[in-house]
Order: sequence, then structure tokens, then C-alpha cells
Amino acid sequence: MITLKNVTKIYTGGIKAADGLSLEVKEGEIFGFLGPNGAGKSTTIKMITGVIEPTEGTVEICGINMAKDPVKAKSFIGYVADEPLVMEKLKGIEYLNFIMNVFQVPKELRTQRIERLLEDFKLSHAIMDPINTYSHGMKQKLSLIAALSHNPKVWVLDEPIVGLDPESAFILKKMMRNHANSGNTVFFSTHVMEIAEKICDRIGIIQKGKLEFVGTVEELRKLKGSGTLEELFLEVTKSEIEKMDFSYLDNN
Amino acid sequence: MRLKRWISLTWTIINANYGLSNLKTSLKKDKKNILILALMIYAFGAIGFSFVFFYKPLLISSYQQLATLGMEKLFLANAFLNAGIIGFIVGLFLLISTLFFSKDMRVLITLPIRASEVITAKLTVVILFQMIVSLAILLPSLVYYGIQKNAGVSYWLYSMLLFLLSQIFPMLLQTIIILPLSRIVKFSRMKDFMLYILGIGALAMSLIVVFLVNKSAINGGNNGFNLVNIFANPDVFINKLASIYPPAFFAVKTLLSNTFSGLAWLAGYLGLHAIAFVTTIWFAKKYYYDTYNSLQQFYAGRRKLSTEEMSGQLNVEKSLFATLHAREWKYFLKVPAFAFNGLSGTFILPIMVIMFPFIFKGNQEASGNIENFFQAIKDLYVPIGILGGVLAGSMSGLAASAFSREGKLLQELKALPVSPGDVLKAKFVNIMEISFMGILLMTAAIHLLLGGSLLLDIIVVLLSGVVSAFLNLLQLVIDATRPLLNWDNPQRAIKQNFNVAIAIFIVIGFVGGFGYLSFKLVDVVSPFAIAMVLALCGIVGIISLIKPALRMTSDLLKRDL
Repeated sequence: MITLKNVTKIYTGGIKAADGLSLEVKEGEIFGFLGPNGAGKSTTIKMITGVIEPTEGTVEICGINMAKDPVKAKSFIGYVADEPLVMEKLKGIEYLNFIMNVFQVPKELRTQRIERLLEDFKLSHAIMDPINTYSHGMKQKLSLIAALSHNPKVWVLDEPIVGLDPESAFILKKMMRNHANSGNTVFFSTHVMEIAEKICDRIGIIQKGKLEFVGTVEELRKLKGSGTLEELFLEVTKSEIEKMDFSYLDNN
Repeated sequence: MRLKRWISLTWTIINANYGLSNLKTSLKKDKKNILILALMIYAFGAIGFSFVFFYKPLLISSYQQLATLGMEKLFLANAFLNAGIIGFIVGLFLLISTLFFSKDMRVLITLPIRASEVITAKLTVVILFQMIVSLAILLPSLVYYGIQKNAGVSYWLYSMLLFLLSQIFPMLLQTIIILPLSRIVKFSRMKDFMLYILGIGALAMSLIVVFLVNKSAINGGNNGFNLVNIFANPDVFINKLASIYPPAFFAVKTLLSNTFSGLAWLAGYLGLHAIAFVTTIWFAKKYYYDTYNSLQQFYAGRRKLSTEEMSGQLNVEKSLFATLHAREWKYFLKVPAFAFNGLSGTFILPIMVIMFPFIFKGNQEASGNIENFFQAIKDLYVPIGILGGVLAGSMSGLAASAFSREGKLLQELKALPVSPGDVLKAKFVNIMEISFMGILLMTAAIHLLLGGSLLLDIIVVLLSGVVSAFLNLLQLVIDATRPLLNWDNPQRAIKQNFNVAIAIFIVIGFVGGFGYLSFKLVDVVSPFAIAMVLALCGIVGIISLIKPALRMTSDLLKRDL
């Protein structure tokens, strides 16, 4: 459902944020995308969702080339950005209506779907309020509800757990599993190794724009030895955290 | 130590507000951004050009007309008065948004800084912006008057001081109006409403002041002080300034008196401003932090909807165009800085045209002269109507900020399954709807002045629409090429946007150029032909700009931002 072929992104100034990425995320799969800050996760996600164009290579969503037919390719995606992209001056319900109008959700499905999502994410009580009265977590929930409201085949979620309360995070994880089990695709980035380990069918680790590893957690263990995913991640990304000395913080 | 901290704080706020570091980095990072520099040079060039070829002759002729009547003292009075009024209008929204809607307060409020330090730093941001008005209006008049009168050292010294302090009084008026009012309407749900009320109130007040001042100057108002009195003794008007705008009274007295009595008047001016400054700080300290804090306390209804209610809200299906079009209107109306600047930019000119005959009402001689002038230009009803309509329909800055006003939300548009054509169409239709409001009002205003027929009015409205559509499309292309998206304060997207400044020059250049040609060719070319040439320009312009507009929108939606 998501296919990246030799995708490279060079930003103005020559910075290579993604370097020849090739990846295929299949139907029924939850794919966790891991990497340190600035490794190229968000850039990759933005290329998958058509927010930015790759410098080289192609991105396909459900067989549709993003560069050739962006409108059709985007219509398969439900996207939650790392920072909630919502029109803060609107009421929550107005924003959801806008998204459903853009995705042309039939009216007979709207109430039923939105009512359930609002109940599940405990946002029913705030839906008539302007979004600028919401907390960060509430905005994140609204973004999620908007992304799921049109029942997209592909969910692309950039750090979706950040800001969510434990109950909502749990619900989202269950929804991700259900969605994948129904033959759809979930692609998400996270820094929480525990979540990646628990719910991902496969993971990808990106470091300095290059995919250092793609496979299951078990495959990673076979490759790098036993340990928690966090430890394996630090090894793959060649982190030198063990050698660091923080005593300077307490010295005068 | 405290001074150093204040300087650092002020510089940081100025830097953040005007995006200086951002611009510097952007210029360094991408050599293509050199276009910004080219645009800046162009804008400064255009300012220089319009100053030399339009403003300077206007200044000279204004001085000479007054000098012929022996009233050149009024030249200085006008400059101080106009700089004050325009500074007040220009700075008002910036003050509101700098105090209440700038995101830097979220950081500043957590830091160990005194309220007075933050306030003075923020007021400095506003006053710097307002000084552009003094630079454009007051300074040239002071210099020209000084040269004409071969003024001595004291004149130049006093002028410098008067110039530097010229925007303090308008800022005091803004602060006195805004802070107590903002405390009254402090509920967060009314924040936008507050901005509308303040904006409309300030605009109405400015128009009333302009009206009263002009009326007083032209026919002396109702209290027996008339044009004959002003001719006999210009000091009558200058003394009248003491009640209309005291700083202008003190300033003019300073410059027109000899060195020593000038010093006394200057002391009065400084005293007035010292009081103004202290009062401003006192008001700000008393009201600002409290009001700011209460604005952060969101009051939300938190009401759950029943299934029926939710169905009522959600079951209105719209086409993609209708959805994007509604989004444009909602975003425009729900951000007060956009709505107020856009609507005032559209309506202010027609309103001033409507006010025009009322200013002269009661002065038979002036009214008679104006009536004769109107009769003389009546044949040019359609071209004048079109050019007036174009000014009202294309100079609001809305088209030139159509993409800039999206800010970070452009990322949302980029991720949605909408084509560049849909986005452009929704924006263009929204802008043209607002343009037509201005065109209709301007046509009504010109109808009131010149008295055209209904048929001519319809022609004026339609052809104004065509020419406005061309100029608006051109502005959309400019904004799509290099939108200003990185702003925290919505005011920046429309008021401090280079694209808007360029668009204003283009519209004024177009209207001025055609106006000048019409005036020169009126004896050899019929007004109908002039109108047709204008319409033809519009049609050719629209046709030739559709493809570039689509291409630029498409490029923008694909670009790394």
C-alpha cells in the first residue's frame, strides 16, 4: 500500500534529509518508523503524504504515484502531523465537517462515525467549542478523529501518542491493530520503543536520512544480539550515551 | 545591568516581531531568496520614485498654495496633525496584536522580568512601526519648510526632537482606549469580538477626526470661526489645534516662535509627552498583565451534543469547491486582523468619497467650485468610476496575502486531496466577492457625487470587476511566488507583508497611469473608448494570468516550506 522507491530529499542548502529510501509497507501491516531527532522521519512522512516532493525517487500509495496524481493518492490517506494542523478559530465540529466535506464522506455515515470516535476519545463534551480553547492533547485527539473520519485505507501518523492521555493512547493502539487486521495499513513514527515493540509488525530505523534497518524486532535481535528494543535502537543509531558524563550539571 | 537586560529584551522582541533573524537565515540559506532583496530594492525604488515624482510635487504645491495665501504656517500644522492621525490608525492593530496576540508572551510571562520592562519593549516595537508614518509625512514637511524659510539652528534642533517624539501621543491614545476596554471585554470567547469593536471604533473615530478637522479647516465649523477668519489670521486655526490635537499645537508654536519662546513651547511639548509617556506606562502596568492573564483563561461551554444535534451539524454535504470557499470565508472572518484590515481597506476609500461633499457643506463658495469641477468631469463618469472601483476592489491587500494568510495551515492544504485549481478558485472567488462589495460602494459614492444613470452604474460595476479581477489575479501570482508564511502574529501576514506593499504600488501605478492618460487624452479619445481600453486590459490580463496563477499555486503546494 505504501511504496517508496529510491526516495531522496535534498533541502535547499544541500542538506540530505532522506537518502535513497526504498521501502514497502503492505496491507494488514503496522509499520513503526524509528529514528533519533533530525534523522529524517518527518521528512519521509511528509513525502509519503504529499506535503513535500522528493528530490528523486517515487512514492506510491495504493498503487497511485503521488507525484502524478496527488489528489487521488492523498484521498487514501488519513494523516496526523507531529503538530496538530487544525484551524484554531473553528469549532471542533466545524473542522470535522470541513474534513468530511473534503473527503466527500456520505452524510448517512457521518454522525454515526463521528459520534463513536468522539465517545472513544472522550471529546464529545468539547466539540462545540472553538479549537483554540483545547489543550494540546485535545487538539491531537481532534486531528486523529479528523484523520479517521473518512475511513482511509492508509493511516500515516507522525508521533500520534505524544500528548494523548493513557486511555486515549491505549484506544489508539487498539484502533491501529483493528485497522491493520481489516486489511489496511498503518505507518507511524514514534520515540516510544515500548509501543513500537508491542504493536508493530515491522519497524524501520532511520539514521541521517538512511534506512539502517527494516524488519521485525525479532530479526533485529538476531542481527544485533539480545536486549530491549531501546538498547538495540541505541546500537543501530550508534548512540554514545553510555560514555556521556553529566556531572557538569551539578558543578558550580 | 537592568538597562542591558531591557535592551536585550527589546531587541529580542523587535527581532521576533519583524522576523529579522528569519529573513537573514533565509537569505543565507537559499540564494534563490535573493529575490527578496530584489523585491526590497524594487519597493524602496518605487517609494523613492513616488516620493520624487508624486509626493514632492504635492508637498511643494501644497506649500506654495498656502504661501500664496500667507498661511504657510498651516503647512506644518497639517503635517503634525496628519502624522498623528495616520500613526494612530496604523499602529492601533499592531498595538493590540503585539500586546495580546503575540505568542512571545507565553515565554515572557514565565521569565523573571518586570511588567514595565516588557511593556516598554513592546511599545517600542509599535512606535518603531509608527515612526514610518512620521518619516513619510512629517519629516519631508519639516525639511521642506526649514529650507524654504532658511531656518536657523534652533529650528533644526527643535524639529529633530519634535520628529522623534511625534508618535508618542498617538500611542498614548491607543493605549488609553485599548487597555481599559480590553479589561471590560476580557472573556476569551469575546477576544475576536473585542478586536472588531476596537478596530471599528478606532476607524470611526479617525474618520470623525478627519471629517471635523477638514470641516474646521474648510468652513470653520459652527462656531463662527470661518474661512475668512483663517485667511485673516492663520493662528486662528493653529490655536484651534490646541483643542483638536494638542501636540500639533505645541509643535507648531515651537517651530514658529523665536529661539527662546520656541524653547518654552518645546518644554511644553516635552512636558506633554512626558506626561503622555508616564500615563501610558501607568495604564499598561495597571491593566496589561491582568488583562493578558484573564485572556489566557479560556472559557469553554463543554456541552455534549445529542445524536440529532450532531446530525444537524454534520449532515450538510458540500461540494469540494463550496467547502474550500466556505473555509476561505470562515478563516477570513474569524481572524480579526484579516477581516478588519481587508474590509477597512476595501471600504475606507468609498466612505471617504461619500464624506467628501459633507466636508464642504455649508461653505457656498467651496461647494460651488466643487460642483463646477464635478460638472466638468461628468463626461468621464465611466472611466472615473472604473478606476475608483478598481482602487476599492484591489487595494485591500487581500489578494496579495491570500497564501501568506494561510501561515502554517498551508501544510494542511498540502496534505488534503485538493487540486491547486480548487485552492486557487476558492481563494479567487472569495477575494472577488469582497472586491465587489468595495466596487458597489465606490460606484454608489461616485453616483452620489457625479450623478450618473443606472445603466452607467451597471457598466462601471461590471468593468471595474473585470479590471479588479486582473489585478487581483496578478497579486495572487505574486503571493504564490513568495508567500510570507512564517508568522506568529496574523497582522504580519497582511500589514507587514512585502507582497501587499508591492501590490499597492501596482494598483496605484495602474490607476494613476490610466488616470493620467485619460486626463491627457480626454480631448482626442472618447470616455467610452478609454473605458473599453481599460476593460480590454483587464480581459487580456486575466487570460494571460490564469495559467501562471495555476502553475505558481501548484508549485507552492509542492514546495518545501
